[in-house]
Amino acid sequence: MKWITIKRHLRDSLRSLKRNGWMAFAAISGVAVTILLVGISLALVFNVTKLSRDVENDVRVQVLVEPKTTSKQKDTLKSELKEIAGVKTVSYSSKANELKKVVSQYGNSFKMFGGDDNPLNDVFTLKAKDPQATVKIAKKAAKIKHVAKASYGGDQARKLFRTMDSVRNWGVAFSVLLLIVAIFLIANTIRITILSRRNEIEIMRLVGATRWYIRWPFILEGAWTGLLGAIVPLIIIDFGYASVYHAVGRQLATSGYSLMTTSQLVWPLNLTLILIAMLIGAFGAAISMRRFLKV
Amino acid sequence: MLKLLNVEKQYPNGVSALKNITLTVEQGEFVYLVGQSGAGKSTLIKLLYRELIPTKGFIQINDFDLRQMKERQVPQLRRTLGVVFQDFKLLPKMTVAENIGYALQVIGKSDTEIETAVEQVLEEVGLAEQATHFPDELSGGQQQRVAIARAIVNRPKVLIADEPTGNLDPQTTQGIMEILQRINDSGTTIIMATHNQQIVDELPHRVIEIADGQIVRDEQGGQYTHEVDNDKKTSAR
Ligand SMILES: Nc1ncnc2c1ncn2[C@@H]1O[C@H](COP(=O)(O)OP(=O)(O)O)[C@@H](O)[C@H]1O
Ligand SMILES: [Mg+2]
Repeated sequence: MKWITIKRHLRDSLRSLKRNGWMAFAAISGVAVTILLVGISLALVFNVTKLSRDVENDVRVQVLVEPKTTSKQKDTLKSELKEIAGVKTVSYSSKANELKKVVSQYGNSFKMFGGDDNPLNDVFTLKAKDPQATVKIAKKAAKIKHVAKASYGGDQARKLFRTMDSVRNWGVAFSVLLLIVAIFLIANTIRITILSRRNEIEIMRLVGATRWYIRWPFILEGAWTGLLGAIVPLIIIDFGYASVYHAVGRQLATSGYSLMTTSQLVWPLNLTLILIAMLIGAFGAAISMRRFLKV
Repeated sequence: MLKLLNVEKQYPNGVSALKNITLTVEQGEFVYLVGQSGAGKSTLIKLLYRELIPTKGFIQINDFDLRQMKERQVPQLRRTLGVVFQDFKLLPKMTVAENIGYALQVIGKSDTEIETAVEQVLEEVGLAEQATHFPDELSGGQQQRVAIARAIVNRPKVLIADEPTGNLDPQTTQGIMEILQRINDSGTTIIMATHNQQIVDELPHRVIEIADGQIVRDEQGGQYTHEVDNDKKTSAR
C-alpha cells in the first residue's frame, strides 16, 4: 500500500471517530470496562500459574515439635528426621523465632504472646532432594515421637489455588460477557459510520476502489476505538498491580513464595491487553461491515 | 470493444428484465439505448459495469470476461469504464474539484496527479471557474457536467450513461450532448440510455431499441422511433 493511501485511511478513520461523538465514547467506555476486567483476570491467571509452579518446585517439609519437648529429645528428633529417605537438610527454628516472623508480618499486637504465652511450636524445616518426595517425607515424619504435625510445601497453597481458580473462572466468564457487549457497541458505531458514508462508498465502488481500500477506514476506526478504550484500564492495572505487589508480596515473602514482579508482569500484560483491545475493535467493525458494507 | 451473447437477466423476484440480448459495440462507437420505461435499459447498463450479474449468457468489455470475473477483479473493470446517472450522484460536502479528484484518490493516485487531471477535465467540461463551488451552488446541467468530468477523469475506454439528461431542460440537455459528442470524438465509446426523442433525432448515432427485455431494432444513424411508426404518427395527425 502506498504511503499516501495509508495517510488517507488514517485521516478518514480518525475523522469519523470524532464525528461519531457520544456513540464512539460509549464504545470506548465499553472497551475500557472490558479491558479492565480482562486485565485483572489475566494478572490473576499469570500469578496463579507462577505460584503453582513455585509450589510444585517446593522441596520443604515443616515439622512442628510438640510443646514441652526437651532440647535433648529435640536433638534425637533432629537426627531421626535426617535419617528419613530423601531428606537433604534439616534446619531448626525456635518458637520465639517463629513469633518474630509473625510479628514482622502482622504487627506488634502479637508481641503479647511472647515468652511462656507463646502458642507457637518449635519447627524443623526439612528440605527434600526432589519435590515429589515431600508427601512421603511428611507422612513418615508425622509418625516420629514428639512430632505434633508435619506438613509438606504447598498443601496450604493448594487450598488457596482452588479458591483462586473459581475467582478466575468467574472473571473469565464475566470478561467474555463484557467482551460481547464491547464488540456490540463498536459494531454499532461502525454501522453508523457506514450508513453515513454510503454515498461515498457507492462512488468508491463505481470508480473502482478495491474492496480493501473501502474496508480499511472502518477497520481502523474500530481499532482506534479499542486502543482509546485500553488507555484508562491500563493505567489502573499498572498502578493497581504495583500496590497489590507491595501489599501481598510482603506477606508471601516469609513463606518463600512470590508474586510476579511489576516489571515481569506489566509489559507482557500491557501488550496483550492492547492487542486484545484493538482486535475487539477490528472484530466489531468486521461484524458491521459484513452486514452493511456490501463490498 | 463490448460484446454480449445470449444475455438474460432475471431478478430474484422472478421478473425477467432481459431476454436473449446479443450485440457488439466497437471501440469509438456512440450508441443510444432507447425504449419505454421498464423496457430493460437500466438493467442492461448495470450488467455492463457489473452492478448486476447476468442470469445467462456471455459479456465481454475491454477484454474483461464478466462471467468468469472474480469479485475482487471488478474494481479493475470499473477503472476502464466511466458511469453517469440521471441523479448525478455528487457528494454534497465536497467541492467540484474534490468530487472529481475523489475518483482518482480512491484508486491510489498521488495528489499531484490528481491536481493536473482535475484541472484539465474541468477545462474540458467548461467548469474551470466553478472548481471550488459546492454541488448545491450549481445548476442541474453544471452538476451533470461535474459527474461527467468525474466519469472521464481516469480516461476510460467506455462511458456509460443512464438517462443523463432525464432531469434537465432541453437547453441544458443540448450542452450535455455537446460534451458527450466531444468525448466520443476523442475515441471514447459511449453507451447512453435515453427516452429523449429530440436528442436522438438531432444528433443521430446508432440506435438500439429495447422493448420488453428484447432488442427489437438496431440501426446505424437511426431515429428515436422506427420510420414506419413515424409515418403512422404523421398520417394520424
Ligand atoms: N431490482 C429489481 N428487482 C426486480 N425487478 C426489477 C428491478 N429493477 C428493475 N426491475 C424490473 O425490470 C424491468 C426492467 O427495468 P429497467 O431495466 O429499470 O427498465 P428501464 O431502465 O428501461 O426503464 C422492469 O419490469 C422493472 O420493473
Ligand atoms: Mg431506467
